[in-house]
Amino acid sequence: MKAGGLRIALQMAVLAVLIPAAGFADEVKEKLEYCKNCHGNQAQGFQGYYTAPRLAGQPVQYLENQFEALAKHRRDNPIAQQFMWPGIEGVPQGLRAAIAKQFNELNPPPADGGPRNLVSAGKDIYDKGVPDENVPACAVCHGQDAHGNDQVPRLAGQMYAYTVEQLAGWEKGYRGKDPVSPGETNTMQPIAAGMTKDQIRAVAAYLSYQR
Amino acid sequence: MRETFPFDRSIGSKAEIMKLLKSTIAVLAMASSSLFALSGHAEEGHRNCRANPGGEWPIDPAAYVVRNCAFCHGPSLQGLAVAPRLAGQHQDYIIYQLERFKNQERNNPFSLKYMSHVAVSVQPDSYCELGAYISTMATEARCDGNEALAAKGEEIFRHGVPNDNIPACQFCHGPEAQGVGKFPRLGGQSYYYLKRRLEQWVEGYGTISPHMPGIASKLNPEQIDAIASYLSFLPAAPSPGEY
Amino acid sequence: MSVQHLLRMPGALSCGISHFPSTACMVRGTFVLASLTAATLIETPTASAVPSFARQTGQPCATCHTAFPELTPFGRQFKLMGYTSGGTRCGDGSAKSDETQVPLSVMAWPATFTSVRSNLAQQSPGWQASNINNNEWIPGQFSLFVAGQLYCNVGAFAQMTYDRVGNSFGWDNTDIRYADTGRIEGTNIIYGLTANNNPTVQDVWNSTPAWSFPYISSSVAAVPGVSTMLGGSAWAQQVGGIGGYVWINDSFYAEFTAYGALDARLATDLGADPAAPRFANAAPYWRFAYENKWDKNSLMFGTFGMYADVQPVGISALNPINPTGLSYGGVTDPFLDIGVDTQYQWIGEENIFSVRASYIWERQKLNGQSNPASNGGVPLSNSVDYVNDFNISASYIYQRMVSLTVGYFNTWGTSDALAYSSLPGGVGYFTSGSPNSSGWNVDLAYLPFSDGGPDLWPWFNARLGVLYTHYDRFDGSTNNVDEIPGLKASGNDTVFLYSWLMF
Repeated sequence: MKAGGLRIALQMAVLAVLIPAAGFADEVKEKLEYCKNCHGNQAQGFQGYYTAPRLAGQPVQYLENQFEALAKHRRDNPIAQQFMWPGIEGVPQGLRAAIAKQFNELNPPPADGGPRNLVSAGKDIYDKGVPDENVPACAVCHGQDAHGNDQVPRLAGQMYAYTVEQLAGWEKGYRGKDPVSPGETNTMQPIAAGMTKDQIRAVAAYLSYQR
Repeated sequence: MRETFPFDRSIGSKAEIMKLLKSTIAVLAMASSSLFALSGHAEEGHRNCRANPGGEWPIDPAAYVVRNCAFCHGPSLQGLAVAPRLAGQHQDYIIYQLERFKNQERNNPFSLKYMSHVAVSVQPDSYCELGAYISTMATEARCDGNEALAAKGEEIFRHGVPNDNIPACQFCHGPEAQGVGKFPRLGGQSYYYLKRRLEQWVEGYGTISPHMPGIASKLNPEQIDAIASYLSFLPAAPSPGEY
Repeated sequence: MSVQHLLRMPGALSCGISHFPSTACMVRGTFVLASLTAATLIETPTASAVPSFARQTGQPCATCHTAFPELTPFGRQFKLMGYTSGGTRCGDGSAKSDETQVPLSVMAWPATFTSVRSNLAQQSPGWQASNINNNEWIPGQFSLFVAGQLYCNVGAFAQMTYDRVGNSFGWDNTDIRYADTGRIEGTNIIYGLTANNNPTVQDVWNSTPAWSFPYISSSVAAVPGVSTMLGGSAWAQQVGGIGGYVWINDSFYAEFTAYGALDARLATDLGADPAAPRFANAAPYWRFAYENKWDKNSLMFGTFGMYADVQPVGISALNPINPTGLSYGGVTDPFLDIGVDTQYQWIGEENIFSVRASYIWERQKLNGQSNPASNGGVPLSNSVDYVNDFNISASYIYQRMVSLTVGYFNTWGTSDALAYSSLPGGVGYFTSGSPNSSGWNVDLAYLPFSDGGPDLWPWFNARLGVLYTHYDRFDGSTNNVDEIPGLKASGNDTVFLYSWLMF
């Protein structure tokens, strides 16, 4: 029966595509659950003994860049070394794009917040910068809503302790190792260097409550 | 979960206002409950101890623990038979567990047999003082694990097993398994107790921890043995400046 | 286990006459013997999971007991810490509430049934209750306990018992303690003082006589006549002792206690036996034990012993100047007991398995009893006798509710045709001059409330069971036991049904 034979063939073709896809989807799901052990059940970030940053709502390109930087060991602060280097090794290349996309689509409310009394000062700095120190307004690159885009990370709802650590980390030379010219300072380094500890904390506190 | 705000709807009729109100309340309720679930600060232990560090029923925690806890946990709460060491454990964790024993959420057989009865007679007023005192009690590591397995246990403890999607224990429990807040100190605890706890999560007991059942279920018996062994050799006491 | 081997001339004691006892006295003596035996049987370990302890700690019986009265490591710790854990009667800030705790408990054996295989056994001098027949349902003991924290670090386990069979009321097992904890160079120490009235009642393992298996047995059926003084709890409630102990690192136990025998007046006041044998001077008792605990296991090896200058048999009848004197011309019969014991427990979530064994060696230097000069020209025994007690038992307990225990016992010793014989001056009934007895015990019990009592009274516990005792050898023989023709040792086999309630 020709018609019957064609139908069966079509069904087989569809299954041939779907089954590996299902297997792949399972792999992504399992790997996502693994990441969520530390990054929070909605990737909202998590505070254990160490702080794991929020990944939810991050731009896909930014996440993919970070996966690459961690895999190539360019991002090398002590916590990244301990946790993310082995972590990323467990995420095969083929899964990374899919995982980045999954994280991007998550949109939980912010997790732990920072000191509330610093929020208004932080908003001020975020919107206007610190002109005296040549620190531009963060909003210019990260967006008024701090959602970032493309290679610029989302800051809204980021874990307070993580934001503080990252801004302090640029001074220690932990980030921004451009793949083309590794020794060059990058955009964030002079900006972070121009902020005082109090200003860093204020901005971090403000961002931790943003949605 | 995506929240939906009806910003794009025109607010006109009463029905629409009620709808807006209801959905706003629902969203607020969801947001606040997830905030409580996610944020450590909202846990009862924290609230109790900051607002009311000492209770109405006055106790001397040093005398209290000897009178009421020592006949099972040992004279200096270092552990006895199947009862674990409490000395040096974090205040938040102790308070949280006392509550879980009381409402029998911690439901493995020994917890129900022994601790559910005890927890009922500890006054909630005393939780903070007891927890604070117990966290300062010094003790030595039990060192009753299998030395041959300790190295393997350390590997899993520090880095997890990424290919098997097992996270690194030290991320929550600290580099010396000293724990923090509600994450218990594991260092120096009895090998038998740690092993049994991991097995209990695998067996389906005590799903109150949002993380441990899933993590423990991925461990095979040798890995459990190795981790429990390694941890029993780590320092047990609080370091100066620790809390 | 009874104490007949120490009762050489009971008839003489009660007659108080100076000449050689007549047959009339012997008959009377036998009666006295029987009632003395009955009275001393009150010392059979009876106390158990005490509900006032449960109330005090807030714990169900099964926390401290496997199947009461056997103790778990937590129960041992509770006892070593002086019975005060959980107590609220102390102003040192240790009280968990202001709740008043009343450390009283009541124990009852409302219904017991003894069935001895052969009715001939009722003629045996070891038959403990001359007024009770075979195959009768009778109520047993009723006890009141003061048990728990008295004040701060002082606690008590004090039992007072009315015994229906002997129709007597008096003090029973009593242990009053002071205990405290300390830390020396990072090592935990529990130390304490004990005042008690029965050597080994203060012990925390179930391998020493006061708390050993069988935990409850018939107070009617005949029991073998000879045992070591510790093995037979010969001094139970007839002495008072004060001692000190340490428990180091929850592993090593050391104790030394000195006992003194109650005089007749004190014994009467306390409801003990005023005519029971005594000893001169203070009698030292010692106990050392080492216990290792890991996972659900505990394993103990220990040793214990006692020395007593026992009052020689027969001297009071022949010593008119000082008929209640403890020695004749300064001569006593020193008894020395040395025992070794072991206990193993595996306490799981559903199942419990435990084993206990003890061996007690006794040397009796019968300086007085064997000396013709002190006995009207007739020696009443060898100059030295040895007695050995061996006990081993194993228990399996399911869900803390059903308990099966099997035990083997064996007493053997020097044949003494004079001391263990029916000749004039002998104890009365050992046909062959041999003190040997051996046999088996099997106990099956149901404890419905170990994990918590009924809603109405959550501290209630009960042990309902049956004990079957089989004798291979009884009072030195396998047949014609106690000179009763046709009575086999197995004729004394006993089925004992019991109900043991604790409130």
